[in-house]
Amino acid sequence: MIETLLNLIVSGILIGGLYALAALGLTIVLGVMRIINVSHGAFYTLGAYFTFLFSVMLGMNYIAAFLLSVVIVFAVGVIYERALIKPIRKEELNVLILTFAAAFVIEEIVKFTFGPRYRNIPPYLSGTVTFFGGSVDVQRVFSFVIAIAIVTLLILALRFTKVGKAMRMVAEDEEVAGLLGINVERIQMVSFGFGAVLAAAAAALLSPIYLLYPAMGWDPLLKAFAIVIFGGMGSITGTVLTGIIFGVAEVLTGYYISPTWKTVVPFILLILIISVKPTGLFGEEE
Amino acid sequence: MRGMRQGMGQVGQGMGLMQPKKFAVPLVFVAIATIIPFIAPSVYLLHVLILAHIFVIYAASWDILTGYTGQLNLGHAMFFGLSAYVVAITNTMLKTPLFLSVLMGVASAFILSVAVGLPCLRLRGPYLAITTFSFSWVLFLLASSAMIWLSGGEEGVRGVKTFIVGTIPNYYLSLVLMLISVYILYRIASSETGLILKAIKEDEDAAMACGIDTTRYKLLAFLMSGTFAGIAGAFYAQYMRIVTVDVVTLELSASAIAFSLVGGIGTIIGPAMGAYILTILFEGFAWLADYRVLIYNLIIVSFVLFLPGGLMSLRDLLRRREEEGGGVGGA
Repeated sequence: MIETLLNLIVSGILIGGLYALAALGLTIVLGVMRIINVSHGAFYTLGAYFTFLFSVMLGMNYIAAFLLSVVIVFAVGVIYERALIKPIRKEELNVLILTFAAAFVIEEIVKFTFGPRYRNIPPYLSGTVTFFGGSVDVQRVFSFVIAIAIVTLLILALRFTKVGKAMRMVAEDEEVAGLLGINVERIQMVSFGFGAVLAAAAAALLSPIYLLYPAMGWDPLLKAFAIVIFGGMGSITGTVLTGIIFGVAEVLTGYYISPTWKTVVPFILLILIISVKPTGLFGEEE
Repeated sequence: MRGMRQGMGQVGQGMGLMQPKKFAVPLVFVAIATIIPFIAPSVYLLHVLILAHIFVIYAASWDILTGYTGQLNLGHAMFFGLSAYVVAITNTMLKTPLFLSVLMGVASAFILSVAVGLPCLRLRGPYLAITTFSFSWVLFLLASSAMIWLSGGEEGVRGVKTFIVGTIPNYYLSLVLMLISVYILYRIASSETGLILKAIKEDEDAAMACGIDTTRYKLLAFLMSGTFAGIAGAFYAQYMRIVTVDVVTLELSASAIAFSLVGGIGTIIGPAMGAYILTILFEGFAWLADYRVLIYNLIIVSFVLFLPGGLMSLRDLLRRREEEGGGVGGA
C-alpha cells in the first residue's frame, strides 16, 4: 500500500520534472519578452517529431538526434520571433491571437508531413531500478536526470553568463537595459529561441515514454500555462516545484481515480487557483 | 457594383443620421437572402447557408467581447459546444421538450460565462485568454474522453428533435434568428454601451478614471458573448440533430477568430461577413475541407500581420482614397 504510493510519487516526480522543463520555456519568454507564447506547445511537437525523424526514420544515434532537433528548433524559434513576433510584440491581443493560430499552422504542417497517425520512439534504455521497494524504468530516470541537468545549467547560465545576465536585465527593465548598451531585440530573439528549445528538449526526452501525434502539443502547453500561473508568473523555483507537484497529482489521479480524469485535474486546479489567488502559490502580491 | 459601393460609402458618412440609404445594404441583403430558396433550390446550398447563419451569430458574439472590449477569448467554442450538448443530452436522454432543452442550453452557456467571467475579468493581462483556453480544453477532454458515456465521443449524441423539418423552413428560421441576433448585437455595439466597451479596450485605466465600472461592463460583454454563442449552439443542435465532439474543439474556437479577422474585428458586421465568406467557401468546396484548419489559421496569421482591420478596414481605406482623389471614385 505505502509502497504503491511511494512508487507513484516517484514516477510523478519523474514526469513532473519534464513538465517543469517545458513550463520553464514559457516562463523565460514571458519574463524577458512579456508575451504569452501560445505556440509553445507547437515547439514541443516539433521537438518530438524531429527526434522521431532523426532517430527512427533516419536511424541516427539518439543523443545525436536529440541535439540536432534541439538546434533545429532553436533556429525555428529565432526565425519565428523575427518574422512573426517582432512586428507586433507590443500588441498583447495580437500576439496571443497570432501565436494561437501559428500553433495550428505548425500542427497542420506536421500532420501533412508525418501523417495523422500515432508514432512512437522505442525506449533506448531498458531495465528498471528499484526505489523504496518499487521499480521504475531506467528510461524515465534518465530523462528526468537530463531534464534536471538542463534546468540547473539554465539557472547557472542566467546567473553567470553574459547572455544570461543580459536576459535578466531585459526582464527587469527593457529601457534601462537598452541604455546600458544591451541589444534588447537580439536578447529577446535569443530568449525566444531558448524558450522553444526547452519545449523541444522536454518533448525529445518524453518521446520514448509517450506517443507522438500532430496535436500532442496542446496538452503540455495548457499544463505549462497552469504550472506558470500556479508557480507565480516568472518565478523559476516556483515553476519547477509546481511542475513536480503537477506530475505527482496527475499520476495519483490516474491511479486512484481514473486514467481519463488525470488530464482534467490540473485544469480544475488552475481554475480554482485563478478564482482564489491569481498570483499563484509562489507568486508575490502585486 | 459601383452603385453599391457608393451606397456603402454613404452609409458610413451618414452614421447616426436617419438616412434612407443607411438601410440600403441590409435591405438588399435581406431581399436576396429571402428569394434564394426560389432562385437556387439546392438543398446543399441552403444547408451551407444555414451553417453560415449559425456561424455568423457565433462570430458576432465573439466580437462583442474580444473585438469591442479587448478581452481575448481563446475558447469561444465552449459556449457553443456546452449549449449544443445540453440541448442534445436533455432532449434525447431526459426527453425534455425541445423548447425547454433549448432554454436550458442557452441558460447553461449563460451560467458558464458567469463562472468564467466573474473570477478573471477582475484581473488584467493574459488571465482571461488562458482561463478561457483552459475551460474549453477541459470541456473538450470531458466530451472526448472522461465523460464519453454522456457525450458519445466521436459518435456523438444522436436523434435530437427539431423545431421544423426540412431544409427550407430551417433556412428561414436560421435567417430570422441570425438577423435578430446580429441586429441586437449591432445595436448594443453602436449604443453608448458599445462606446464604453471600446473605451475599455483602448485604455481601461482611463475608462475607470471617468467613473466607469469597467468590471461590470466587461462582465456584461462576456455574458452577451456567451449567451449568443449559446443560442448559435442550441440552434445548431436542433438543426443538425446530432452533436459530436466537433462542437467543443480548439479548431472551432480558432474559427471564431478567423471569421472575425477576415471581416474586421470590433465591427460586428465584419465578423458576420467573414463567417459568411469562409463558411460558403469551405463548405461549398468539399475538397478544401482537409485544408480548412491550415488555411483558417494562415488567414489569421496573415491578417494579424498585414491587415489587422480586416476587409472592413479596406473599405475605409478605399473611401479615404476616393476622398483624397477629389471624389472621382472608381472612374
